[in-house]
Amino acid sequence: MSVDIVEYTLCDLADAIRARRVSAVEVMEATLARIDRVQPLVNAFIDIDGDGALDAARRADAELSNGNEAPPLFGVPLAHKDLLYRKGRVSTCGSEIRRNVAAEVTATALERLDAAGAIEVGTLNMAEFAAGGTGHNEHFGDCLNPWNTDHIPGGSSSGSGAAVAARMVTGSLGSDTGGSVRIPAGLCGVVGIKPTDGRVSRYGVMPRSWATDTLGPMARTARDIARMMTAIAGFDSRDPQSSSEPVPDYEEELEQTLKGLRVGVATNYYNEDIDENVAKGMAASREVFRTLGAEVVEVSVPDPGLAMRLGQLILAAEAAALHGKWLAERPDDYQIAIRAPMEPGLFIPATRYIEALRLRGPLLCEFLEEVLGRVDLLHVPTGPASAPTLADSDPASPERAVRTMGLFPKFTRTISYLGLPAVSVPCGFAQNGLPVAFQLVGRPFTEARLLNAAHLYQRETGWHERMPDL
Amino acid sequence: MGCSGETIRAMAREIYGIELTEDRAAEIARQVTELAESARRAGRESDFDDELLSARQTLIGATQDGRGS
Repeated sequence: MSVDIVEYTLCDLADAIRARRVSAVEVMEATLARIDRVQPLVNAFIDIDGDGALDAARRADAELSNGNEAPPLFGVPLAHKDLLYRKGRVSTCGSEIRRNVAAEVTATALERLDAAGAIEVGTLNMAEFAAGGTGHNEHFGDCLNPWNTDHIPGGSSSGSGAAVAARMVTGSLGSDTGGSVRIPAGLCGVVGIKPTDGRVSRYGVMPRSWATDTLGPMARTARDIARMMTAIAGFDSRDPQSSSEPVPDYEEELEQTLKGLRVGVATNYYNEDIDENVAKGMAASREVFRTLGAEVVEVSVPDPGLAMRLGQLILAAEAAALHGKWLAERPDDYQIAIRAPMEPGLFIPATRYIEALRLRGPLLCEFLEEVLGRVDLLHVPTGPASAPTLADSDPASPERAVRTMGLFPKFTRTISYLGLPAVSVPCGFAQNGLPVAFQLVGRPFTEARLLNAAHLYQRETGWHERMPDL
Repeated sequence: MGCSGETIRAMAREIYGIELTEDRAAEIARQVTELAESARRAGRESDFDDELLSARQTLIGATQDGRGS
């Protein structure tokens, strides 16, 4: 039996393998064939381990034939942003500096996906040190948007967005410090979640900002994300930020009714600076939530600009602390566009950094009271527009790139500073054929509710069923 | 209340062993001043006891007072 993997979502594949309608080897062979064909077009992978993945698939089939019970992601091929460490394997972090550095530990999230039966097929392209929002990378080649390869996939989890959208894999982990899962998910037309701080362990993941780093899955459907989240979420003593909040079975919560749910629409900040395509997608998606029984409520958000600037300050200071040694000793091994924004972080006074950290609590309290005390979810754009072209956003032309990309972080970074969960969901296509998306932002640890709303929205709309013509 | 390019250049050399051009140091000084200013202004408006309320405590606390899951 040949498998047309482009027809399958992650849950479809996992369920088909567990039910023995298809073997893990058949799925892996089809996956590798798809990667082989599409990789030259989008450059989503940094490394492809075809032999290792096929061996793992053979072992999986042997286990299944022995009558062993299969875990929820059994035999499913996945690939992740190249900053999740696996002991003995090189994690480049998208950089020249780490090009040959083998990891000494394995990320908790990878251990948990291994335990759930998933098989890694390779590592994915990303912005150098997760420090760019476009997908440009001089060291490993630019990653391209599968919907139109003249355009960027977004970043910094560029390979994750592109690989899932191009149907090279059905799911992928990315990291999100200020929008690095949600921006590429939005620009590539897939679902991506930034969990509540502490929900998913960052142990064994390259740090960018200790205070605001998170790890989250990207996939075509909210159901797929739910299955991955159930596998990876939960307390880990090796991550000091990890939370012991109980982990629900996210997939079991997907069918909850939205009747009576209050969906907030911002009357300031988030409704500004968006183009007509995004505005149209936002309006249409609000109508879908009304149809599903939700109450759409207007809400004013307290000065998110302040939270955004404070988040930027924390990010700059922490990134500079992490990179100080290399900035001094190996400055020429960085792309200039990555190094230059890090340098100011070296000179931020400690008092200002501490003030920015200290203000997270009070500003979060204010947001919880004034926004998420009035509504259950906040419905805001993921970005101001669909994906720009590679040329317009090229960091090698900084002024032009800032004009093109400068507004993107405004929609995501504030949420990161506050530590809240948010899921990006595709909600249509711009006139140029590229996807647009909205975010649902929730109260702490309400990922199940976010995925529930996203799932029911996807069932009504079907944007996720469209496929790029590659 | 900003810092000067000259100060940045000296700090870069003395603390980090990094050589910056005058232009680059001036640009960094401008960016540092801009970044630090928002924290300074917001910090002055916060309460003396605010440091007792960390973001982590607030996130976890929100699940226990009905604002969370």
